[in-house]
Parts: sequence; structure tokens; C-alpha cells
Amino acid sequence: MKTKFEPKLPTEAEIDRQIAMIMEKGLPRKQSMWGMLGEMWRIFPKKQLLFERGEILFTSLLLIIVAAQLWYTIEAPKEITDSWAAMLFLISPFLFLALTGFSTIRKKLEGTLELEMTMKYTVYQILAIRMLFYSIIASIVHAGCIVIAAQFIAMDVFKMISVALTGLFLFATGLLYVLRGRGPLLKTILYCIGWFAGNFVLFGQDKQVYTQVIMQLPNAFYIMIACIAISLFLFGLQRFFTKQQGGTFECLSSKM
Amino acid sequence: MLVIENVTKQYGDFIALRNISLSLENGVYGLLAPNGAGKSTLIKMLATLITPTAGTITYNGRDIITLGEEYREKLGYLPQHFGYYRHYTPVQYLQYLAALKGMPKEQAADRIDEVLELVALSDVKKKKMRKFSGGMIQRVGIAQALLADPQILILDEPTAGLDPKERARFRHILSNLARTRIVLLSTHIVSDVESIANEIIMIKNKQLLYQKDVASICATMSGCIFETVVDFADVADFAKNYIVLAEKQEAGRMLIRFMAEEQKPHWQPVQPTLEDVFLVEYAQESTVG
Repeated sequence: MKTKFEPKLPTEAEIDRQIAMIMEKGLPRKQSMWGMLGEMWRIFPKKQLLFERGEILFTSLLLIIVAAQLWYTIEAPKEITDSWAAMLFLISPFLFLALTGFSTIRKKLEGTLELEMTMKYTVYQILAIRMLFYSIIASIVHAGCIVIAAQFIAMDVFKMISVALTGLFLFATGLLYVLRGRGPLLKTILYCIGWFAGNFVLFGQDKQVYTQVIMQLPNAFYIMIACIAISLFLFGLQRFFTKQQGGTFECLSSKM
Repeated sequence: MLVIENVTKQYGDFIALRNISLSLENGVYGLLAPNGAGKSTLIKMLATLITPTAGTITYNGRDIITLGEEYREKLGYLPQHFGYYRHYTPVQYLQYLAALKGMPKEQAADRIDEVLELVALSDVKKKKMRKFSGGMIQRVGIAQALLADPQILILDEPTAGLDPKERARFRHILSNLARTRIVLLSTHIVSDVESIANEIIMIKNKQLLYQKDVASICATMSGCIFETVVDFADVADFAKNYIVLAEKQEAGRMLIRFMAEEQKPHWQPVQPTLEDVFLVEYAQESTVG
């Protein structure tokens, strides 16, 4: 007598495991920006990613020149507190730009940009990790400088920190927007000129009104603006980080 | 498989390439054309540096721009002008590029030593590259292209600056690698690809002329290549009537290799070479850049 063949069916657990494996292979989970940033942070040699040769010297020299120039234009010591606010609003973005822009320009000059754009990690992603790192460092350095300066000059430390962060992150957000389009080098130059010229003009036209506008606004307003600026920066950074690189070489090589 | 389908590249009114269609599988492909013919334009499109004006480039059925990171992970690229940081050593530069390629540090360390050994730069791996000769820099470039063991290797004029021994070594490396990957070698030096390429791709008038093996391309000139000896005084007149491919002084006269439609007395027919085909096909083309 023939025995009836009973096929052995997989268990529920086995079925779930197989489904999960198929899903993982067929629909790979897209890694978040923060996940990729973490992965890049682990893989990259820090010295080559963040502290390229000459960068620190270049940035320091520029800072000294700009700070000296600004200090020269600042009026009598009795107004030094107010002028500090204007100076912070101007210097913070400049430091940020110098640290992030230097390496990109250097890549173009040394001729490594073409090669680096064919790599797994895009130039946008490398720039984004540098921008994030230097924005954090710039924030800490500014806060530290303000706290130290407050030992010698009467100032509202909290307001000053808020002013510095607002200036830094508003500038950085605008820069991210500028860098995404065509002809980024020219647009960056124009953007920087516009930022500094605009603030100089405002400061020059009516120092009293300009500094009072900055100094009289309540701290809560600056906290709110700083939080909005930081949020916009992080949102812009995410869009910048995930920007497709296809054809970017044409954009970066396009005539100004 | 890498498929280039009806690809056109246009810059304003200038057309760099028109309706190029190719399919590439594992093996060595020699992209042969004179300077300014559009080789680097095609190379740059394959490397995702520039996008086609029309047409598509797909890898295993998917557009390479859409693939993005997934495609670039499989790509090893050596540009025509290989840029480097002068104050870096080869090890430092390859470490940086390995990171850009997404290689973990531990894997990168071993692989860097391997590729530097392959290009005979192990002895100078910790010397700053500003002290290197052009040939040594080029070998660093070849090393970085091989670093992540790419499935698609695209090399634009890779033998520039290499001496004959280094070129031979390089050809040997490519022949071994090509068994399991696509290798596209762009050059205007025929001898670089003649002996190792499975197929030769020739571009003329911005369009594809040939995608065939060397023997098939040479066969197109079969019966049209001759050699003869003429007096020095007759060389100039001879060159006006026929496409001269090579000249060599021999016993007080000039041995000329040339192309003609029909054989004449005292002409010796010879087997066409790839260089003969190259010289004949591009005899009338002006080179730009």
C-alpha cells in the first residue's frame, strides 16, 4: 500500500525570515544622511578630510587680516561692545567659508577634482561633512571667544553668542543654496561680497541704528532666529548631501 | 554589461559626439582616435562626469546616472590629466582615495601595498610625490584606478610618460585583469592596445567607425597596403599621389609604406596593421586640442 506523501511545510518563523531576506535584497534600506556621515567619519583619515595642509595657516592669516581691518574701523572704546556685535556677524561666516572653500578651490587648482568626482562619495558629501564639522567648531570657538572677551568688556554674553550663531548659520544656509546651482564659484564670490558689503553699508550708513537693531532685539528673538537658522542649515545640508553628482563636472567647469 | 545607446553630446552648436552606440562586456577595449576626436568626451560620460545630450548609458540595464554611487563603486578611472597633491606620499594619497571609494581602513591598507607592488612603486611609497618623475606619477594614477578592484576600469591615455618596459608591464597587468572586468583604454598610441585588445573602437567624424577585433579591422585594408623603394627626389611627388604611412632610409633610397587602391609593378603588398588603418582613416581629419 502506498503511503501518502506529506510535504514538510516551513514554519511561520522560517517564512518570516525568508520574506525579510527577500525584502532586504530587493528593497535595500536607504541609509540616512547621519548614517552615511557616521560611516564616512569612521572610514576617512581625519587629517586628509578636515585639516589639509596650509589650511590652518591660510585661515589664520585671513582672520588676522579681517579682524585687524574691522578693528581699525571700529570707533571709540565706549562703543566697542556694539561694534563687537557687528564684527561677530561679519567674521563668523568668513571663518566658515575659509575653512570649507579652501579645500574645494585647491582641488580645482591641483587638478584632483575630476578624479575625486568619480568616487563613491561625492564632492557634495565631502563638502557637507566639512561644513558640518566646521560649523560645530566655529560655534564652539565663537562661544569661547565671547566668554573670554566678556571678562574684559561689558557685554551680554548670551546675546553675543546668539548673534554669532545666527550670522554663521544664516550665511551657511545661503551658501548651501548657492553651491547647488551652476557656476558655484562665481555665485559664491558674489554671495560673499553681497553679505559683507551689505553689512558694511548698513554699518556705515547709520552705525547707531545698525548696532541698536542688533543690540535692542530681545534675546528670545535671537534664540528663535538662531534655532531657525540652524534648522534651515541642517535641512539645506541634507539636500546638499543627497544631491546627485551626475554632470556636476560640467557645472564646476562651466565658464563664469 | 555596459551599453551606450544612441549617445550624442553637444555643446551649444558644437557636436562632440553623434549617435554613438556600443556594448561592452568583460575584456579589453581599445578606444582609438586622434586627438580631439571625442575620446575623452565619451570617457567622461562613462565616468559620469558629464551627461549625454541625448541617448542613454546603462550598466546591467540601469542608467548609470540614476545608479549613482552604486555605479561609481564599481568604477576605476584614470583621467587624462591625473591630478595629485604634491606634498602627499603615494600611501597617503591612496589612503585618501580609498576612503573616497568607501573602502574600510583595514582593507585599504593591504590593498594599497598590493597595487603599489603591482606598479613597482613599493620602494618609494613613503616619499612625497613632488619628487616623482612623470612616469612615477602616472603609475600612482594607475594604482589608484585599481585600488577598489573595480568591475569597470576606464583609463584615459594611461601610458603617457611610461617607458617601454613600464608600458609592457602595464599591458600585462591589463591582460590579466580583463578576464573578469570591462577595461576601456583610450589612447592614440596604437601599440598600447594592438596586442591586448579584444575589440577596437574607432571614432571618426564624431561617429562610431568600428567596434571590431584587430584582425577584422586590418582586413578592411587587405590588398591596399604596399611597400616600395623610391629615390629621395621622388618622395615628395609620391606623397602627393598616395597616402604615405611610413618612410625608412635604406641603401641610399627611401623605403615607403603606403596605401593605394590598386597594385602597380615594383610594389610589394604587405599585411595591413592597425596603425596603417589608423593613419589611412584619419589622414584627412584635422586634430583639435
